[in-house]
Amino acid sequence: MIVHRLEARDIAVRLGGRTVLRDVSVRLGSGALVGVVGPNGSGKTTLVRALAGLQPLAAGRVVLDGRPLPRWDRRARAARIAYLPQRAAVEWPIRVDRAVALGRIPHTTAWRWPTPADEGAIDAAIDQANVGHLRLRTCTTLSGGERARVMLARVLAVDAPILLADEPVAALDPRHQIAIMEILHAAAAEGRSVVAVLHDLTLAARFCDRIVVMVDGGILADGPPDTALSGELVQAAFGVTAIEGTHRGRRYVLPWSIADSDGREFPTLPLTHGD
Amino acid sequence: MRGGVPAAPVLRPAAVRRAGAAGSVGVVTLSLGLSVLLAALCIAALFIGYTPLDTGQVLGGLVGRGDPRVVVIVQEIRAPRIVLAALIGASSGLAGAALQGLFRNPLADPGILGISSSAALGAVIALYFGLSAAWALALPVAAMLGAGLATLALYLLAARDASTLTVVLAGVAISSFAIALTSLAMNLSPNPYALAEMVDWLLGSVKDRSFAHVTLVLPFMIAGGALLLTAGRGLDALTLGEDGARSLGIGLRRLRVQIITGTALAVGSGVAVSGGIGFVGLVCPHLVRPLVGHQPRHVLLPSALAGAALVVAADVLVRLIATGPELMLGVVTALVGTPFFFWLIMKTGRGAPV
Repeated sequence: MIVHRLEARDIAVRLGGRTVLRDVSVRLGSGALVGVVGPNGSGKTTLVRALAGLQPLAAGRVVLDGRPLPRWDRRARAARIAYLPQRAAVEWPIRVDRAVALGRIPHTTAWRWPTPADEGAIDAAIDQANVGHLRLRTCTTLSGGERARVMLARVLAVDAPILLADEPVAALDPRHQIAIMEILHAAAAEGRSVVAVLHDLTLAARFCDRIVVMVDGGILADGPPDTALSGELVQAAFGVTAIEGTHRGRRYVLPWSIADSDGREFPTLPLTHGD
Repeated sequence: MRGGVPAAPVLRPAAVRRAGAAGSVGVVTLSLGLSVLLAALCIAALFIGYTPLDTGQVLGGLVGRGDPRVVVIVQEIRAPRIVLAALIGASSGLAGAALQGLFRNPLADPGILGISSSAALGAVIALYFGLSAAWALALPVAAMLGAGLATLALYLLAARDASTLTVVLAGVAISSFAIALTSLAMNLSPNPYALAEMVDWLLGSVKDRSFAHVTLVLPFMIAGGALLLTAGRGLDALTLGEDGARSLGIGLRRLRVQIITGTALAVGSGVAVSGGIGFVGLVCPHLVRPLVGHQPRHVLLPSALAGAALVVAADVLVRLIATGPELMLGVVTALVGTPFFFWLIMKTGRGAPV
């Protein structure tokens, strides 16, 4: 039986008079990596923020372990839901291991800092995100890929059963993208419930156990990559045709050209060489 | 990084931690060092004044033995002045460190952000209406109200956009307004004595203060200091931005109220007894920050101790420099602090790590 730890029930979010999320329901079980995909402005970030309890809701509620989020003690909730914001960064030039240690804040009070358990979680997170060699570097001098992995280590250090990551692989080179996805996948394999907002459909199809496709503030599809990222759904959601296939048993989806609603490709650019 | 994702090198965490300790002094070592420095400066300050005293006289004066005139000089002139200087310096250093952490902005300082001038305005209003004659606490309370209102206004102005420019400009606006109203009060001052009292007070000094002044402000400074010193966890979390901090279980509204109240209490009460002694809160966090590895929580206590040492030293300096009328402490800290402010603007503008 799947234990649903975090659940959004018919939630709606309005921002500046615009409905950004409407009637969204999603249940997150343990031990799965869930990819949230969708066009820009479809409400992916808002959904993840709502799941993290950072977004005031116009309707519905988010329930963690049977209790609505606002009724949780702040610190207890923070120890159960780790959240990696979009373009996460550190604002003072502090050392990498100290930045990772910030993830332990929900487990501490002003008077207790830190215990061997905290040290252990920090070391484990640093190992898991493979940033041991960066331990003594200063956060503000890291490259984009290094910073992304350090920020991921910071989130892993919370050691929460639920991990929400908003665009963890944005603006990274392919190698770092795959590295981050492998770390997230491993975190899910350990029994955590991991949610990642993604734009790369192939990464999503390859690494995620389940895909949530969002369009216009609602969920268009929710299921395993084979069904939720089918050619028709990709076209309906993104307005593109895609090259699909399977490599070593994992699905890949390569967006190819802009398509109209009937699936005809627009004869836009003469994509030939040497003319 | 060109190498992509290398295999994790075999670095044992404990060894790394030891190696890391060499990189920065560490908050405990630095605090101990600054405490020793502060104690040394306080002892030195007992010996420096307009009446030369030897060791025996100072020691005798401290315990109340010997020449009664010496006892008065040590116990009622020099000691309260030193204690007050240390308290005011510590409050400013602490408030500067907390504000810089809250705004995540290295240019935040109670003086630059208009908090001190608003506290001064509150005090001048109390002087203008003669409120302090009616109620002993009127001046410090008015100063703290001024500081609190200014901090609140600053927060509201900077709430949407906490960029360096917005915060500093909001501070300039608040400061200008407070100075304009202070000038108005001086302009309309009913008699030249009240005016002289205001001017003398605005320049900022700890001379001719008694232990009555110390006991007046001490409760407020302790309360404010406690609020600011316990904000470290929230300030650390804010290193990850506002969403990051909230996701770590930090109540941002509570944290802001805590720091605003703490700053108003600590800075307002300081201004209430000493007038405007500026730039300590700007300079001290920068002096200690690289030594403790830039983490906001670790900057708080050393910055307070550095502030105390700095103001005690500056007050020794004004007694050593022979001028006609004694130099005012606030004038000295401003003269030293302003070039530092220029340097900081240039450094920040170039995008160098702060």
